[in-house]
Amino acid sequence: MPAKPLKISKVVVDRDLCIGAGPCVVLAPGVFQLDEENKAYVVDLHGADAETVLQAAESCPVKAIYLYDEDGKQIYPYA
Amino acid sequence: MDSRFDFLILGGGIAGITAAETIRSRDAAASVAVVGAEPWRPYSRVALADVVTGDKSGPELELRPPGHWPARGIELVTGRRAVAVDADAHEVAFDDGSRLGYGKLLIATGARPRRLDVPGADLLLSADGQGAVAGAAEASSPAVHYLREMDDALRLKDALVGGEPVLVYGSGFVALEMAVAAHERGANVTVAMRGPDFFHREVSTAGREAIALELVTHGLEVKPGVMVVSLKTEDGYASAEFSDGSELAVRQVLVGLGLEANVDFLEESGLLVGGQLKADEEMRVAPDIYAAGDVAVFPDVLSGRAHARATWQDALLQGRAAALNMLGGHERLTSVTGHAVACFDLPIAFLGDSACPDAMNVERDYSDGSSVRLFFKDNRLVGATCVGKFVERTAATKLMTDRRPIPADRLAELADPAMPLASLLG
Repeated sequence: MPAKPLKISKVVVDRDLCIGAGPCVVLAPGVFQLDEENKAYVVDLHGADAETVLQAAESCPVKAIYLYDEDGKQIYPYA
Repeated sequence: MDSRFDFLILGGGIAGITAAETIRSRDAAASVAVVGAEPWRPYSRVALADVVTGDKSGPELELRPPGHWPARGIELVTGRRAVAVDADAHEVAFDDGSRLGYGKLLIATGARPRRLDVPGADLLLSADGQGAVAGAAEASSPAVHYLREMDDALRLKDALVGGEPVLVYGSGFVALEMAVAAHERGANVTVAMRGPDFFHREVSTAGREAIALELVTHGLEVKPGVMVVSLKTEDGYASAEFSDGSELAVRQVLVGLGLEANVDFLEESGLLVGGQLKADEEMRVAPDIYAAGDVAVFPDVLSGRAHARATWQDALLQGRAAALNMLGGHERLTSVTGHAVACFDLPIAFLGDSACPDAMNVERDYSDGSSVRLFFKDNRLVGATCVGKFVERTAATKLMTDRRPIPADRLAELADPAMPLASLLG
C-alpha cells in the first residue's frame, strides 16, 4: 500500500518472458492485449487507473510486466 | 478452537491469495488468513517448467516479497493441510491437530495430478516426497514424476540427465510442458499417449498435425495410441511396457494425465455433491462457504455447463469474485478467459470453453499454416483454440463476449478462412 498516490509513467512487457497466461488482459483490457503469438503488449498506458495497472502487473505469473515512475525508477517488480 | 478469522482461505495458490488481497483492499479491519498445504510461500505454479529447465530457481517463482503478507495484515500459514470442515460450527481442522474458526470460508485447495495406476508405478519412487531421490548422487534412479508442486519441479530438475531417455505419458497441457522442458534439459524424450495426438478434443486436425510435426522436428519421439500397462525397474532403468506389447527402457517417467480436485478432506462435511465441490455462479457453495480455483465446479457463463477451469486467469478471477461476494457482493464471472502454451516455437491458444463436449465444431485452416477450431453451442460461439498465429483472436473474443447468435447458414461458411470472423460481428 503506497503512501503516495501511485504514478506510472511507463509500462513494458518483456515479450520473451510472457507466456500468454493473460491475467493482465482480463484485469486491464484497456492497457494490455494479446498479440497473434499469445504475447501481451501495451495498447494504452492510460487505459486504466494506476492501481489497476499495478494489479495487472502483480497478476502476471512470470513477472513479465515492468512498471516505472516518472523518474524512470522501477516500481514493479519490487526490488 | 485455536483462533478465529473473519475470512479463512484454504489454499495458497493464485485463487487463494487473490481472494485475500481483494478482501484486504476492501476491508482494512477484518482478520484474514491464508492456509496452504505446501511448505512454500505462494509461488507461480504455471512457471514450474522454468524450474525444471533450470531457467529459474524456486525462490524466483515467489509471487510476492516475504514482507508483503505481514505488511497487509494477512496471516499466511504454510505447510498445513486441512483435514475436515465443520460447517455448522464454522471450524476447520488441520493435519497438525489445530482448529481454526471462521466467519466466512473460501475453499481454494486446488487439484493434484491423476496418478498413473499400473503395476509397478508404486514400486518406483512417486513424487510424493517419501522416497529417496533427494541428492544428486541418486539423481538418475528411475522414478515416476508429476509436475504440480514446487517439490515436483525441483525433484524432476535433479532427476533429468542430459542424453538419458525419458518417457512422457499424456496428451494435455502438462504433458506437453514436461516434454518440452525435459528436451530443453537435454533428455532424450519419447511421448506416449492413449489417444492419437495432443489436445485431441480441443484443437483442429491441422493444428494437431502441426504440434506433432513440431515435436518430431525437435527430435522427440511420439508414440500415439498406446497405454502404459506396467513399469519395472531394471539396472537403474524403468522399463515401460505398452499396450501394443512394445517396451521402452527409460531413466524417468513423467506423467501428465490430468487433475483430480483436492476435495477428500470434505467427504464428511456434507459439502460435496456427487464427489464434487459445486458452486453457483457467485462461487457460493453453502452459507458462508465459497470455492474458487481448480477445486471448484460451477456453471460456465458461455456454454452453461458446469466444470472446473484450471487456468491462471480463471483462478485469479474466481478468487476475486468469491472475495467480493464474501464481502456481500453479487459478482459473476462474465469474462471470456483463456490460456496459452508453446510447443517450442509453435503458439497454442485456448479461449472460452474450448473443451465443450456437446458443441458443434468448425475448423478454419489459414494459408500461413495456422489453424483454428471454433466451438458453437445454440448457434453461439462458446470456445476457440488456435495453433499458430491467432489472427482472429479479437473477433473471436468479441463474438463470445457479445454472445451474439449466428445464423445457421453462416456457420457453414465459416470453414472457409477467406470469410472473416469479424463479418459476423455485424
